Amino acid sequence: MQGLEGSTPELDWNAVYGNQLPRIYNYFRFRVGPAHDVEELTARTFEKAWRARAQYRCNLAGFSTWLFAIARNVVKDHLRSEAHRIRAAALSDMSDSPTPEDGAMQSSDMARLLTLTAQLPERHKELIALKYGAELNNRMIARITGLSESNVGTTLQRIVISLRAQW
Amino acid sequence: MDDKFLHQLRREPPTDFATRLKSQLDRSAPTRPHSARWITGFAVFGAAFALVAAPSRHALLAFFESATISPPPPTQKTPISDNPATVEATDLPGGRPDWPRTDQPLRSGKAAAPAPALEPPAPQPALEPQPVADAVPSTANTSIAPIAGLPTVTPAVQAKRAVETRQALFRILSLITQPLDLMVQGRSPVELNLARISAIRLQRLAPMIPEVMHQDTRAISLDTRALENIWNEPADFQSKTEELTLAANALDHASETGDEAATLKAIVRIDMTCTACHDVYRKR
Repeated sequence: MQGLEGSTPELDWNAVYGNQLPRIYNYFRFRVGPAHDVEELTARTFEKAWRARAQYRCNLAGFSTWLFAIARNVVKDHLRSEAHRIRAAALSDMSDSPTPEDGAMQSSDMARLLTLTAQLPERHKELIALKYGAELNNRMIARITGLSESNVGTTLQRIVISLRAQW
Repeated sequence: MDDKFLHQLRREPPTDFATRLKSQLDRSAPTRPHSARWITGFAVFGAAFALVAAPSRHALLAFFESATISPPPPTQKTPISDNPATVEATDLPGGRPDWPRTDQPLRSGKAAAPAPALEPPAPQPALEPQPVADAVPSTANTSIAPIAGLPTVTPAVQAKRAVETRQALFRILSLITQPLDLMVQGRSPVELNLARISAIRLQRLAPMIPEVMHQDTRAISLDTRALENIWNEPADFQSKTEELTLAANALDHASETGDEAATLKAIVRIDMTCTACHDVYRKR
């Protein structure tokens, strides 16, 4: 990646990209669902992070926290924007047929999970996405969300029990 | 359902998406760190201060006067004063010119080339009464007056100019996005070249938004839709305007690759970005 290696000596930005892309991508899959949104939100998160990378001075663990803080803001903006509904409608008109992943999701476990989690509070959706989408441990989730580690563990346990009951 | 089941729902990002995004990231330049911004800011501020500071104005005034007026003969008494306000026009040969004279040689001693007929600037009607600073010598009757006059503009006039400037920028942005709106609404065909031109223009202009919105005009009652959140939450506002640059980058990339669907998607993203910012920072 041109010019990246020199900007922050502690980080190999190519490795960061390879390591963090699946996490961010799956975080959005668990958080918002449809494939076209996921790719766009993922791209937006990385673009913001990449533009600001020269300002980043920390280690990899800190970078992950920083990146997810950006991702969470991206989700917040996405959900807050009234236009995202218009956009979704416009995109559905644009595409002649759903993407393979869209089609598969409609009848998949993921779709079912999203239906169930749609009824949960935003904070719970966030925890699910961070834990199972981004595959972060409780400590990292606690750092990102500002909750205590034990609170994260307990809440997640309750959510999973609740989802299992409805499955 | 258990932890293992939930983890198994993860998917790897599509390879083409990962490659495309990486290529896009490779093309994006990082923003300068805050330290560099501060240095630039201080440099600009310092230059501006140097231009408007009284000693500098005196030096500039002296320079312009000496450049437009032939040196007095040695036998003639030349008024010596550091303060241009104490130099009376009648003390200078031919009086102090309000406008560069064409009938006198320049400093080099060579005859001045006949200049095109220049009309002296017409006196501007005063928009607002301007406070007179006692310590600052009057420069209204000199050729440097337009420079020296800038900082003495009243807050009301400054605010009015700021509003006019930012509204002008947003008119241009609206002009740029109009054809994109038509494309996404299906009212005009998707023209990749036009989309790319629009993207490039947006890339250039979007970073100007925080600059033109920098001046806080809340104290002055003006016809503006800007909400005060702009100045209450500058970091978020800045972030939202950066979103527009990113969206424009995405459109640039998509239109360059010739992918019509991706181009439409990028246009929708620009629309969303505008709306997300307007929702918070513009009156409905």
